[in-house]
Amino acid sequence: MIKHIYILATFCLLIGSLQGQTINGRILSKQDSTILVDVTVSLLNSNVQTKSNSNGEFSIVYKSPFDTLLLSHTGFLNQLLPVNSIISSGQLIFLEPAVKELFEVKVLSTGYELLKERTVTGAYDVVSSDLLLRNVSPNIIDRISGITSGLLYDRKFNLPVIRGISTLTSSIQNPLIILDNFPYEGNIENINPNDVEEITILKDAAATAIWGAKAGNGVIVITSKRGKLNQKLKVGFTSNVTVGNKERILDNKNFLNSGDFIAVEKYLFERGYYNNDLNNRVTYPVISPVVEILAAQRAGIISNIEGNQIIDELTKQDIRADYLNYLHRKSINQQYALSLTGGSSNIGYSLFVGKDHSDRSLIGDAYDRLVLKSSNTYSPKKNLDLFLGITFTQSKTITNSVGGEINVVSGKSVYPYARLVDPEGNPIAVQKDYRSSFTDTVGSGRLLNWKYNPITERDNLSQEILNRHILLQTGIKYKWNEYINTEAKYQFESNNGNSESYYAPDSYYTRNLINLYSQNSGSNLIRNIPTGGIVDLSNSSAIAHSVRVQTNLNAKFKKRHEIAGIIGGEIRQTSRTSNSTRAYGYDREILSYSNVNYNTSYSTYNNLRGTNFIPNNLSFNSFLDKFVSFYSSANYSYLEKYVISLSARKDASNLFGVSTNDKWKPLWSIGGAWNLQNESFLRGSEISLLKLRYTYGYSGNVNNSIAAVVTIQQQNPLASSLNGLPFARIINRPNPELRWETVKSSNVGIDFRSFANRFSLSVDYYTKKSYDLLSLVPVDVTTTGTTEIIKNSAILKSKGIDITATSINVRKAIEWKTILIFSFNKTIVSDYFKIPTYPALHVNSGSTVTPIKGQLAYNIVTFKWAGLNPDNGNPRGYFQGRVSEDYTQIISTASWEDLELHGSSIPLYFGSFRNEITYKRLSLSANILYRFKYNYLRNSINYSSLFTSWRGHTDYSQRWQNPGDELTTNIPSMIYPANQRRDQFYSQSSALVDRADNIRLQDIRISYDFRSTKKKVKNNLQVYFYANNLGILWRMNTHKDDPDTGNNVPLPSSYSFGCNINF
Amino acid sequence: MNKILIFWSSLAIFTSVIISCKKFLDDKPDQKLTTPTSLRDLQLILDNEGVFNDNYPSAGEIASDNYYLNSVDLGNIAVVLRDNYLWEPLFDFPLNWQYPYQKVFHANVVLDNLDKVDHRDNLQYNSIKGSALFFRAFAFFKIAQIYTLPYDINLSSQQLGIPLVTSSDINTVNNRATLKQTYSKIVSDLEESVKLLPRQSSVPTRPNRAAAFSLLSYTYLIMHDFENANKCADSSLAIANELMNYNLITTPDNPFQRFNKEVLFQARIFAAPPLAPARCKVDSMLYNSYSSDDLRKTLFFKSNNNGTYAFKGSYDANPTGSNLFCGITVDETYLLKAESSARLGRTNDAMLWINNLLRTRWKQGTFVDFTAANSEQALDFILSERRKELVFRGGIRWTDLRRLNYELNRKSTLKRIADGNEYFLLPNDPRYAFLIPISIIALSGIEQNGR
Repeated sequence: MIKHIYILATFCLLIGSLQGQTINGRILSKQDSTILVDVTVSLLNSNVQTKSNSNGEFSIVYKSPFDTLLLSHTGFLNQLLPVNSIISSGQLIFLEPAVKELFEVKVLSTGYELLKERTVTGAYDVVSSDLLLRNVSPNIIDRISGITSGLLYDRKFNLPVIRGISTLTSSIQNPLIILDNFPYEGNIENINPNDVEEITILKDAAATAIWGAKAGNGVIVITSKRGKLNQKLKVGFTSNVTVGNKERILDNKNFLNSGDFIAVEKYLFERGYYNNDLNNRVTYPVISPVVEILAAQRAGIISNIEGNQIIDELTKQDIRADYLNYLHRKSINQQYALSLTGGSSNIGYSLFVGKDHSDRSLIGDAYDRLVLKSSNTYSPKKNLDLFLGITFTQSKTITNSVGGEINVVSGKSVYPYARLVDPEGNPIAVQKDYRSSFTDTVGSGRLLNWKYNPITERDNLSQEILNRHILLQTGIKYKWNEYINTEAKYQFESNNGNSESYYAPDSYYTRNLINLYSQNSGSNLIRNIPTGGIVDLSNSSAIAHSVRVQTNLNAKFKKRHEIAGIIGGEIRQTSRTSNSTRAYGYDREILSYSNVNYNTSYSTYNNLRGTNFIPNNLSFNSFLDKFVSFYSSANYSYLEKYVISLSARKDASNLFGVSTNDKWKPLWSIGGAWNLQNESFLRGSEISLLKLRYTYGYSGNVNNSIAAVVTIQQQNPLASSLNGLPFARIINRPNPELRWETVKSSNVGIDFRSFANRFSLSVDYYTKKSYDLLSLVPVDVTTTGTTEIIKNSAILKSKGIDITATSINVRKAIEWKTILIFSFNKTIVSDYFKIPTYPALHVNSGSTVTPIKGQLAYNIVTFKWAGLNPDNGNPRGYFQGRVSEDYTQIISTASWEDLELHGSSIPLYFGSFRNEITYKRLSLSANILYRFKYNYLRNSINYSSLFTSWRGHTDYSQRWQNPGDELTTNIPSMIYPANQRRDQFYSQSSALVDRADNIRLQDIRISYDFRSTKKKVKNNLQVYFYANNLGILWRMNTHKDDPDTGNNVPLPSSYSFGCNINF
Repeated sequence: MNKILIFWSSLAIFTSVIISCKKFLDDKPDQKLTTPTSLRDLQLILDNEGVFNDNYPSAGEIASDNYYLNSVDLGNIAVVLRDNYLWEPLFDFPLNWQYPYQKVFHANVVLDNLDKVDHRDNLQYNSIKGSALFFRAFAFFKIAQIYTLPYDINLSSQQLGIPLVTSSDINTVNNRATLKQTYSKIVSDLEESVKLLPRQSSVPTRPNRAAAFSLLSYTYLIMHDFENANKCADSSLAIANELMNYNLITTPDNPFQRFNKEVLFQARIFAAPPLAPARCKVDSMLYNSYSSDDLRKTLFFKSNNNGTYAFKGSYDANPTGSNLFCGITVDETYLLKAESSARLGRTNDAMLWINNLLRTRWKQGTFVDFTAANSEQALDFILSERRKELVFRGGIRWTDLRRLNYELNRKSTLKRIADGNEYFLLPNDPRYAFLIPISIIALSGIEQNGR
């Protein structure tokens, strides 16, 4: 604490002295050195005031040499000048124009208040609408990707993570999203980026503490477009079309070509591997065509020559060609957005209509979004402002595709020589769930056709999710006087989701279920599920009410003290309910249905799947989250130089089972800033901004889903398959010490901007400690009946650096601007109680947090690799320091010396390098993203899953086959029977770890303005071309992998063309 | 004036909101979650069949000598199960420990909350308390068969037992009791439960007095308290003694209905892939020991058409599953009655009960009462019939192997062959007590079994 007081105290130093009587000066515009007339010139410590004449000259008499001049002029920034800094008579004084530039933002919104840039002490990033328009994604989060520091986009996370993770619970890992002053509960996809005015990202404690217990992961404040008073009508229209390439499935290495696959099948067949399946007359597992032929050859049903001919034909087939032709397509995304904003003397209005349509890259999948918004400000009296806004969003998601690849049973991919169409191009059936020869003849015609045809299946499905979101905002603001106003806001948010999944009578899903629940009774067939379609309906609704009452103070006295403060309280309640139902024998045309008996457990046909109840898909849920908060923040600045900020907040929620006193969580922050550019010694220099900032404070993470007492949950009787009785599960074991997670952070920053914005730099250094984190603590099952309990136990420590540097390299006919963003974050697990018995259990691919005390949170831990055995191609590791092939021992009880820690699986250093070149009306910009210092674990061949799940890998062809191969390959030999532990050892060995570092060309944008952009004219037509996911420029791995995607296959690139019209 | 009015009224509204906060925050976040507040809630916990009727340990049946696996099937099962099958000294499969202790915890939650909820309904109170005690005792019994050495009547007060957890407080420390204490606790819990339980239950997933007496009889038998074993078997048979007549079974593919009239208490082991009928080949000596007039030979087993046989006779009507029935049945009580009578020297009694049982198992018209010259002969006959009747009953064979190894002429040496190697399990081998999971030892510090 002393450290912090000390740092604040240093800001409070003040120096200055001089003598004299009259000051003469001449005021010019900093931008173009034109003379400024009628500038108000006053002295802070006396009542003297004057104005500049037509030559921009003024003269003023002062009494104290410690007094300060204040120069103010419409359209320019106020400037404070200590009297003693005026050295010569008639000195030129430059006023900076208050023209809004891209990276110069005057105010920022925290969601509670607007803060002047110079009085801000915290770390934040502002993304203006111009920058948001650069990217054309329909998703707002994509649009801030790669243009702000400290935000890491990684497939491990749902939403970008701000300054490293602050929690170990993934469900509360997302940053808090604020839309127009209130937390946003809807789907982020519902926000139309074309309606967004500005996004502010709050990163440190001073910035987030005002959001309290939900802000531990940082806050993204989204402000949508609003009409202002006294503003001419502005019309904006945006339209674009994006075409995305097909998914690059041919680059997916998790595939074995037909020739190799058939060779493996023959190898296994000779060893009797399929005999059980071939003889299985109970569940009739899928048998691949090649194995059927081999079995028929063995049984003498077909000749060897005949069989081999068929197999040779199959060798030439590649299912991926059919995937690309019949399951995949180029995606198309269209956007249209129209906005109208304007205002008269007492009314400000804005209207927005946005329409999006996407045909997704899988045939049968589509997305539609419509946004209608109206917001109005009305000032019936001078002191009174009323606000009313309403937004309606409707989205429709259609998922009729059968996936990007076909599985014969869940988790088992189809053999690579399968076809989806016959030579004439007609869709054909693919084996599914059961052996072909079984489904060919079973039921002697009484059962429904039991074949699966992936392409026609698509036409028999209709799966739609319709989502309607209504956001209603009202506000009233009353100004008591020039300094104090009180506002009350109410927000109503309602989200309704309806999903309908219809399986037509001809769909495989329906036929399979009907057949399974059919029984032979003598010569009759009893159908326990009636023929006809099946429909699953589900509804979800979320309703949130928020009320906020807040008093704002904004006062300036004695011309040098400026104070801005807020105090307020907030109540918020979110209730979510959902339910689902199913109907059988459903006729979509006339809406009729049939009854089934849910109460009897039926033996499935031929006892294929044992004895089961008919699934009813019934569910009912209801959740209720409540929050009460009180908050206050104050910002005091002296002479616009020295700033102190304080904020405090207390939150409470309906955390279950915790006594009311413990539900309250107080959080606070303190900060200071020093605007050096206002100091006399920097006056008149090239520096227009030089600010030092420091903050310290606390925010939190809240998880209402766990309780502190024993809780039970009654279950649907049908979930108990034996007795059909209702029963209850014990959901929670008692934990009286349950509390919220807390994030403590401190931040030191410096902002610098040179004259006329040629160069600007912002650097932040921060440390974070997240403690009381909920994590699994292993417990003795003997006393607890469970192996792990969630407790407030873990601690994470992070430190990092965020840098944003902007430079205008050339500012002539051609303007060339470079923006460099650099982030560094290192998050370490400093306490974690789940210590596995053996270090071997720490082995982790890096996809989740690796719990090793003192190590990076996302670490890759593998078994140390000792090369292949030269005699037989067995993979070798170490056990107790010695080379070993005892995989069982290595996997379960290897010690640290037998393991290897590779470091982070998320980049420690990342950022972007963006260049923008403008020549007359033509602009070109390109963003290059870089990510350094991290690793990934590659996939490779796994013989067990190749044999059982038909999952191949191209590494198969480089496997060890003969002695000597070990010199050139690390890929183990194929053995029979497969040894799961051998495969597991290899797949988690250090042989498969590579550095993931890469630099990629993320996107390029070319635009042409039909009116000059330089003059900031309102009327403009811009056309643009945008290309995204353009590929990796440099990578450290030698496998041509894209380490940032799930299967290491690069994302398909996309190309957009569009226009923006403003008048 | 107007301003002041607005100011004060808004302040008043705000204050009232704050005052109502306390109540506002008392609503629960998930409507489905409740704390146990009534006898009904506790009964709901006990009716969780996933906890109380399923997932009993499979390690005993996997390690027993009723079957064998061929090398292909052995290669296809998880290595840990292969270790189980071959009695590997370091075999460690924590589920065998976790599942039964999960049952113990649930039973303790019910017992600890019984007196905290409204328990004016005496009948329901007794039934719930008796059920929880029975479930706990049954779990302790099953754990003891896997993780302790066989009960030695002379050494049981020095032999290591299991942690006897009797509280749902997760912070209690429990060391291993002695084996004598372990069995005494099982006996005392069961003795108490038979006083509380209803004679019979509406569904066999709920405990009842007949089942509890039968289990008690078996426990006494293991403890060599034959008099009590005999009495308890009597008490059980007095409530339920009806047997199925195997001649009347018409569905040979799926011969036994779930909840058939011999099932007193329904329980199953957790899925054990080595025991799946598709893999599990019945020991040929065992198969051949059934007489051709014995209906069990065709109802229990089916031919794989290659000289081997698969088991299809689970009392759970699931001829393809590997989660075998391991509950309590009337036929078992007959065998307990017969065995304890024989051991008490009551040869006639013993033969009467075994003949009563076998009569329903034999082809109509072929059965002739078996006789024995003395009680020892009767006992040998009963034990061989016991193996044949209770084959693949989810661990009964394992428990019988354990206890009979103490008897001079009834010791068994088990043998497996895998990949050309022979594996043996000698009588009273320390491996009859599997290793307590290493993870449990690490967390609790309790003593490990010897090797």
